[in-house]
Amino acid sequence: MRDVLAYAQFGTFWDRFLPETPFGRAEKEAMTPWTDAVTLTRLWDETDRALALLEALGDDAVRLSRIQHHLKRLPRFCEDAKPLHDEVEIFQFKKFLHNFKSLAELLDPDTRRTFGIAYASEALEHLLDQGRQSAESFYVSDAYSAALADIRSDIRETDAAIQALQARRSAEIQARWGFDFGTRAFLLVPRDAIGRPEEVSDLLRVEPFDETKVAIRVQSSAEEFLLLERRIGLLSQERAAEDDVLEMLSRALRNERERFAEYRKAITRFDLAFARGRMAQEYRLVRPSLNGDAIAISGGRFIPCEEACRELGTNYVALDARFEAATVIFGSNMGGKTVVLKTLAFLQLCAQMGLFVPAEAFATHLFQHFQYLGEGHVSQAPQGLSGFGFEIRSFVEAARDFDAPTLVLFDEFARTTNSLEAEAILSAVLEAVAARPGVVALFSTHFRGVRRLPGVNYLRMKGLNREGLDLGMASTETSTAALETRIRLIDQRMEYHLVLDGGGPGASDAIAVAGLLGLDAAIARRASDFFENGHRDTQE
Amino acid sequence: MVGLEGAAGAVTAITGFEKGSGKTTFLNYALPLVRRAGPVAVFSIGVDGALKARDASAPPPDIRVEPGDLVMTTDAFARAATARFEILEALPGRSTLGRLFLGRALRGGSVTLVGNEHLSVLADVIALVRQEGWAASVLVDGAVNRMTQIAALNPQGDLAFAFTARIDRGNLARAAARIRNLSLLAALPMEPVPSADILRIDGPLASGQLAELPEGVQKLSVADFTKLFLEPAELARTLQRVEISVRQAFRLLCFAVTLRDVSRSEFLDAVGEYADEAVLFNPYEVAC
Repeated sequence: MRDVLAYAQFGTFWDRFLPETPFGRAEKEAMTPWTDAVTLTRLWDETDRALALLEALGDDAVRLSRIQHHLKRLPRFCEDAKPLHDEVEIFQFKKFLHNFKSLAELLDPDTRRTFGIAYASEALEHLLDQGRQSAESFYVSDAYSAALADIRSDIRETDAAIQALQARRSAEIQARWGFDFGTRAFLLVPRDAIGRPEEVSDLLRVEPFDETKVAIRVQSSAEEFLLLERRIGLLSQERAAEDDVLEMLSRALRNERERFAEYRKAITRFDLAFARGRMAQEYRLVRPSLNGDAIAISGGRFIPCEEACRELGTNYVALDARFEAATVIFGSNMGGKTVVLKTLAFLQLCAQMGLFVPAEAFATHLFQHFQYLGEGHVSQAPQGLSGFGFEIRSFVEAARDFDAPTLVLFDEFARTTNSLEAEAILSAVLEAVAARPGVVALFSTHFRGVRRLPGVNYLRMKGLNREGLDLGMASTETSTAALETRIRLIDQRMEYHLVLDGGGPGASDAIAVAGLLGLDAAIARRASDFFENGHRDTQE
Repeated sequence: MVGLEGAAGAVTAITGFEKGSGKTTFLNYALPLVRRAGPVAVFSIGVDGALKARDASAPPPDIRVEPGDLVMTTDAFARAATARFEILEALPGRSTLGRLFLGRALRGGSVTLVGNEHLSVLADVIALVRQEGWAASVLVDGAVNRMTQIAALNPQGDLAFAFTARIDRGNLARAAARIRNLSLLAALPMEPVPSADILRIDGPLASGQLAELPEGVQKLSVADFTKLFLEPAELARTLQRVEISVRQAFRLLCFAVTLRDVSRSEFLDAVGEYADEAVLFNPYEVAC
C-alpha cells in the first residue's frame, strides 16, 4: 500500500485534509482505504451534507469560524469506567460537553440529524458547573459540599491568623534591627548586624551564608507553629472532602458514559465530513460514483502535477479515460504515461479514503488491494537482488493479492533487462493479469513488441505535435535558461491525450525529444536513420 | 542598578549559569514585583532532575502564587499544593510525573512547578495564555544551559531574559566571561529583514563556519544570538572585524548576581565595562 501512496504522491494531499478534533485527527492518521461500498457511500453522503452546510453558511464567516472554534476546542476525555476521575479528567468532560453543545446549537436540524448530533446532558452540565466557574474551566468549588466550604473557610481564617502573626513579628524585627523583609522569604545581612545568633533566635532563624554575611528568616512563634500544624490538618481534610465530590461527579459521569461515546462518534463523523467538505470546495472535488463495470474518468486531475505545472507556468491537461481489466499505455519519454497511471492511482485513493475526487466525473469500483511495480518502489530492500530481480520478486508477492479486487500499476516493468526478453515477460504477465476478473491493471511501457492479447486495451499517448516544428533547432547553448525554454517547448508541443494504439512502430518521439533537448543534430539524424533502418531490417 | 520593570507585560525566561545559580530564588523575588502589572503566568522548562528521580532529599523549591496567577503543574502536585487551582487547559501527553495542566490559582499558596519535556508544549501554552489574555506577564524558570531553546518560547513577540549566577572565588573568572559574552550577544543590533549587503546565515554560526565565510564579508545576519557559538575571546575578535546583526532580539532584563566572598567591586572589575549596567546584585542582600 505504501508504494502506491508514495507513487501517487498522495501523502502531501492527505496532509491538507485537516480535521479539527483529536478524534478526527486520529482517524486521519490511520490512513486506511475503505473497501466496502456501504461505508464509502455513507462518507460521501456526509460530505454532501457538509457541503450543503458550507454553502448555506455562504458569507457568514462568523458562524463558520465559531463552528471551527468549537471543533478545535473539543478535548479528548477518559473513556474508561474509572471509579474516581481526577480534576483534569472532569475538566475534559466538562469542556467537551460545553463545546459539543455550542456546536450543536450552530448546526441546522438536517446536519444534526445526519450526524446524530443530539445534546441531552443538561443535568450533568449543570452538575459540573457548580459555583462561580466558567463553562470551560473546572474546580471543586465550595458549592458542591457544605463540609468542604466549612473547611476552606477554616483554612482562610487560619491563613489570615498566620499572616497577622507574621506581620507582627516582621514589625518587631524591623523595629529592632531595621530589616524589612517585604515579600522576601529571607534576607542576607552582615554578620555583625544581628549580634550572636543564639541571642536572637526568638525572632530570627540564622543560617550561614559566607564569611561576611548570614541569611536570616523570620522565626515562627509557638502560636504560629500551632496554626501551621492546624493548617496541615485542614489541608488534609480539604483533600478528603474534595475526593468525596470527585467521587460523586465520577458516578454521574459513569452513568453518562454511553452517551459520551455517542457524542464522540457523532462529532468525529461531523469533523471528518466538514474537513472533507472544505477540501472539496478548495480543490474543486466531485463525488465519485460506484460502477461495477469500468473505471471512467472525465477531466481527472493529478493535483501534485497540476500544481507543479501551475508553478512552472506550463500546460496541464486533465485526463479523460476509461479503463477495464488490463490496459497497456505506450508513449515516448516525457509523453505523460506515468502521469496517467499516477492520476488513476490518485483518484482511486481519494475515493477510497472517503474524499471527493479532483475530476469532472469519476466512476469506479472498489479495490481491496493496491499494488505498484516499477521504478522507485519504496519497499526496495537490497537482499542481494538486482533491480530486475527485485522487480520480479515484487510481482510474485503482489500476485498473491490477485484473487481479490486489486488495482495494479506497472510503470515500465522489466525495463532493466533486454528488450526481447522484457517484451516476452511483459506479455506473459499481461496475459496472466488479464485473466483475473477482479484485477484492473495498467501497464506503461516503451516496448512496442508486447503481444496483442484479447481482452486487453492498447492505448498510447498522442505524443509530439511536429507540425511546423524545427527538429534541427539543437544548438550548443547549454545554459539552464536554454534548457528551461526547451522543456517548455516540449511541453507545449506534447499532446497529453490517450488515443487507441493500432500497432506498428510509428515515428520516434524519443529521438525528436532528444533533439529538442539539445542532442547534436548529426547524432539525432543518425539515430533516426538507425531507427528507420532497424525497422526495415526487422520487416525484411 | 537595573530594575525589573522590563518583565511586566513580557515573556521573560530566567536562565542560569549552572545548577543552583538561584533561578527559583530570583523568580520568587521577581514574582510579586511583576504581579503589580497584573496576574503572572509562571512556568518551568523541562522536568527537574530531582523531581524526575523522585529524590525527596532535593525537591525543587516551591513558588508562592496569588489568586489569578497561572501555573503549569501536574494533578498530583496540585493536590499536594497549599494553593488551589481551577483547571483552564489539560496539556497534551503526560510528563513522567503525571498529567500536566494549566491552572489558575483561586487560593494563594505554594506549588511545585512541573514543565513538559517538549519545549513546543510550553511555547503553545504561552501562546494560549497571551491569546486568551489570562496573564499580563509570563515568567519561565528555565533549566540551565538552555539559552538555545528560549527562542522557541515567544517566536513572534517580545522576549526578555534574566541570567542568574552564584559567584564565588572558584568560578568568578568563568562566570564573568560568560556574562561578558552574553552582554555582547544581547547588545547585537536587530535587523528583522537584512539588507542586500548583509550575508544571511540561517543555521548556527560557530568557529568552523566563521573560517569558511566568503572573503570580504563585513556584515552578517543570524536568526538570533543563541545561534552564535563562539567563545568569548573569539566573539569579541569577530565583532571587531564583522558587524553581526540578529533578526530576532532577546531583551536582556538583568544579570542577577549572588556573590559569596567576592566583593561587588571585584566582580565589576572582572566583568569589565560590558555588563555592569545590567547587573542586579542580590536583591535579598541588606546593606547596613
